[in-house]
Amino acid sequence: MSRNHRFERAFLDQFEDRLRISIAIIALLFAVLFFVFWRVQVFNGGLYSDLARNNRIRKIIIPAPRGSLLDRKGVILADNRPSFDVEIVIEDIPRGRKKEIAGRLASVLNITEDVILEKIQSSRRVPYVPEKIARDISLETVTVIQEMREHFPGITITPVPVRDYRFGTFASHVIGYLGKLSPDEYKNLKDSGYYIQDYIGKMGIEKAAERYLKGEHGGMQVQVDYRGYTDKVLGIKNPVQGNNVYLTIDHHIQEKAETLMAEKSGAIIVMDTRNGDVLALVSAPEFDPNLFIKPTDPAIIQDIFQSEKKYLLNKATRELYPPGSTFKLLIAMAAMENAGLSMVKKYDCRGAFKLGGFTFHCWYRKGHGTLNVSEAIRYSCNVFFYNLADDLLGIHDINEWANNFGFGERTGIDLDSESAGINPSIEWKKNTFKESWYPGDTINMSIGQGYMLATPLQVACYITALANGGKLFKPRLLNRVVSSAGKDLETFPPVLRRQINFTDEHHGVIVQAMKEVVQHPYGTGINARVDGVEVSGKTGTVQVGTPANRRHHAWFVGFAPSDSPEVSIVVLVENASAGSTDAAPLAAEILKTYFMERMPPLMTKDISEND
Amino acid sequence: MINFRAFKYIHYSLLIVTVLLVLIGVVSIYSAAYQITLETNAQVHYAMKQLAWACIGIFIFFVIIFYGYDGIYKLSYPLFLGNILLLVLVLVLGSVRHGSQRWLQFGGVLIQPSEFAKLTFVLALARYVSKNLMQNRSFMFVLKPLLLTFIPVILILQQPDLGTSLVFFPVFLSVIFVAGVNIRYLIKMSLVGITTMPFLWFCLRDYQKNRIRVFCDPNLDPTGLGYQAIQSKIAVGAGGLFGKGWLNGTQNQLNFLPKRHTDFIFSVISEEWGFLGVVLVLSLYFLLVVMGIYIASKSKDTYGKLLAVGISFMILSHVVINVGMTVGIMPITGLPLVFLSYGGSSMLTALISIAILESIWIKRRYDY
Repeated sequence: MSRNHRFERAFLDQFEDRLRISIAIIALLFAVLFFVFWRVQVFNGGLYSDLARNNRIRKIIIPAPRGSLLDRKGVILADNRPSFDVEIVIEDIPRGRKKEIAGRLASVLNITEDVILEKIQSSRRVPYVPEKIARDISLETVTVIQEMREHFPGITITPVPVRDYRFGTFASHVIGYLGKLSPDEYKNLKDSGYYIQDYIGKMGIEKAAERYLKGEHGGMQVQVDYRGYTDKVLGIKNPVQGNNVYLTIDHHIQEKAETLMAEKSGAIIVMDTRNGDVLALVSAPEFDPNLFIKPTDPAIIQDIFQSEKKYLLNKATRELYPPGSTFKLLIAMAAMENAGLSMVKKYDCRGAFKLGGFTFHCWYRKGHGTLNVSEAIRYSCNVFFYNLADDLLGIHDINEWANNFGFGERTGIDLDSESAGINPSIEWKKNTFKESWYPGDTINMSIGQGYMLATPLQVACYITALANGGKLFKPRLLNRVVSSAGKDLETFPPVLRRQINFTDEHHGVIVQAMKEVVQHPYGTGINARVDGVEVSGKTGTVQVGTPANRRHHAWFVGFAPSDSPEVSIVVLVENASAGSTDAAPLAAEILKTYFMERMPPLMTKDISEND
Repeated sequence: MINFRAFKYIHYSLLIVTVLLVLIGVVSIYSAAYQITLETNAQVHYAMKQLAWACIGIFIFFVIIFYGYDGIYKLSYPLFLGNILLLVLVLVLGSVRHGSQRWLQFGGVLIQPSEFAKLTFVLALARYVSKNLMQNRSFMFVLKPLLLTFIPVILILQQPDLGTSLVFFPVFLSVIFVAGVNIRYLIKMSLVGITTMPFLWFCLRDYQKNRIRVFCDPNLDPTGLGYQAIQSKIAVGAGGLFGKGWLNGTQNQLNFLPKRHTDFIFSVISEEWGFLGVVLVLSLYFLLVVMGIYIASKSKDTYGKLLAVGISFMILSHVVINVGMTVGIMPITGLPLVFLSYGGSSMLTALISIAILESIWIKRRYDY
């Protein structure tokens, strides 16, 4: 009994001790719980509130319709049409049903299940952001999916405004095209109102006028439940449509020029000589910017990007060509202004010119005989200009005048990636080739060959300046910006880059010679004649490539009417035989179209007067 | 022979804390099941059902208090044995829901024998340990109760119900600890436990393994297994200091929280009542557990002492595991929160546990 009693005493003491330890453990556990809840709810409460908000609140972007592009007369070149896109919110698909739904969708969309599953797998970037499965599906498919809605949880069809280039390839290098934001672009632009699958102008006016065209995306904040179904709409911000941009392009002239360049490659520029307005700018071959919007076979897209035909290259602003004989006008001006060349000075052309062991040929091997500067331009005699280069001009004179007329510098047109060309000089050759300048280089330069390289647009600015008495304009492509409500927001006045100084006498010699090139019975440019309008101009034929792979490009540059110029034109046809036969006739056709546009009213007036 | 004098000696604080917890549970279930009721057009609200269970529980509570402490002592083994039989029966003909076999159907009522097993196990354990107290320094004193523990644990693991089976170990440990077991045995046993853990890993079912993996990093499967853990933690955190208000928790009302009227009821409380609500509820639990320990200290006989400690630790384990799981410091196991979670068996077990604590307390002053 006493042993039991003693055991009981000892047990009870120990029991109380161990109860105290238990209480301590209990208190510790509750302390941990209190601390953890304090940390999650109070200390980090804001963080989790945000997470809860993200859980239930989604922002649905309402894309802004992009502004339209119009020609100078208001013909719509690019606007928007609805495209029905199939979108999927991965998180909204019931678990375990992905494969089933993908399979059903695949059969409706006529694509493989793997493509859809692949999209589902790869799109874990942002939860609850819809992923596009198919773009621009047909109305019939839209109907099929809408009718089977219950069988497609997580799948929605969204009408999205997409770009519609109404005339397909029309002015494709001026208009450019739209493309999806690249990941880098998104990173840079996400704070400027772009969303992850947004489109952005990638080329041409679409790129240059992006800020006018884009508009402001709207959005809708909705509260959703755990399946992603809209519980209620919390707020809507309507999108602001982009502004409409009027170009200086004239639809008719552009179309005529493109028709003439079909199947050819090269460039045509038609410019208003009085203000530098670009009335037409053609680069051939063209591409259809709609292909970047519509679901297109990737092979076709790849061909556009990588083909040897360089569909995307704007030959008018980016490709470089020797100006050839069109450059002789500038050489003549340089010789008159800097070296005292006059109409009296004559050189004898025997078909070739020798300089230190080298022979430089005239294109007319029999020789032109004795001629003055005007005749030399009219017949495009090479030997006359070889003599000028040997006798009167140094490279620095040519460089100076090429510089005056804007060669070697960008024209500043509102298109991306314009080339500056090359206006060679002694320093340029030394820096580029580590070689000194040879007299033969100057001889080549005198007929616009050799190192001299220019874009057709630079040549157009140069001819425009010759036509208007020395005004070197920035080519104007953007005319004005008008809001979707029709309010004028911005107009772009002509920009005069500089006034080139030369005497009226010298200018008269050159424009007279240019008139004779076309109007004289033996002029090289007679194919550019237009009934009823006096055209002035200059032809050119340049050699490019190695002797083994010799190719010729044909130039015609000119303006009309000769006495009061309104419009200048540059035609470049690649892989042709000669400027007089391949380029000049195209210029005539285009000028006819230009004057037709304004002739009908004049003609009716004439008739009434006759009556 | 029913004698109402027993009422005079009821520990009223314990009763009040219990009733408060049950009421908080009913109110929370009302909010948690609000959308479910709306959607399913249920005639009877979950909160009403829970209230009905609580009433049944209170009735049983008084029956036990009338019946008295001595009867409980006598019935310890038979109740445990009966419960074990029910657990076997569950495995044989139980109804399968949510992928596990936990329920037995009696008439129109589903009961979950594993819930009651926790309690009947404590009864049997307390009885066995109090009978063999004299050997409390021997190794057999540890081993035999441990084998006793494994019987229900293994049966419940077969269902499978990892969460419920886990509760048995803290209860077992607490009882033999206060009974004066040699601490060295406990340490050795823990070492054995830890070394066999890798082995136990292979005994787990795939879904259990994945739960543990996802517990370590819920973002492994944010829309799948980690979903509950993530959404629950978001709900808790979003509650902030003051909560979003009753019926206003977005995680709750917009259905982001699964199992929110049962296992995740505490997430709803955290979201809608905030940290203040959490402090209130956890304080009530703390009081409850501490009062249990106090009753153990004041009880005049060892059976009562051990039983009170076992019940206290049973409640404690539920709170720590369930509440811990809502904030991501415990893996997600299907364990209800006693008094609060919706469920008849859980509610009855909880109220019977309190009734037993009360009868231990009454026995001190009043001999039935």
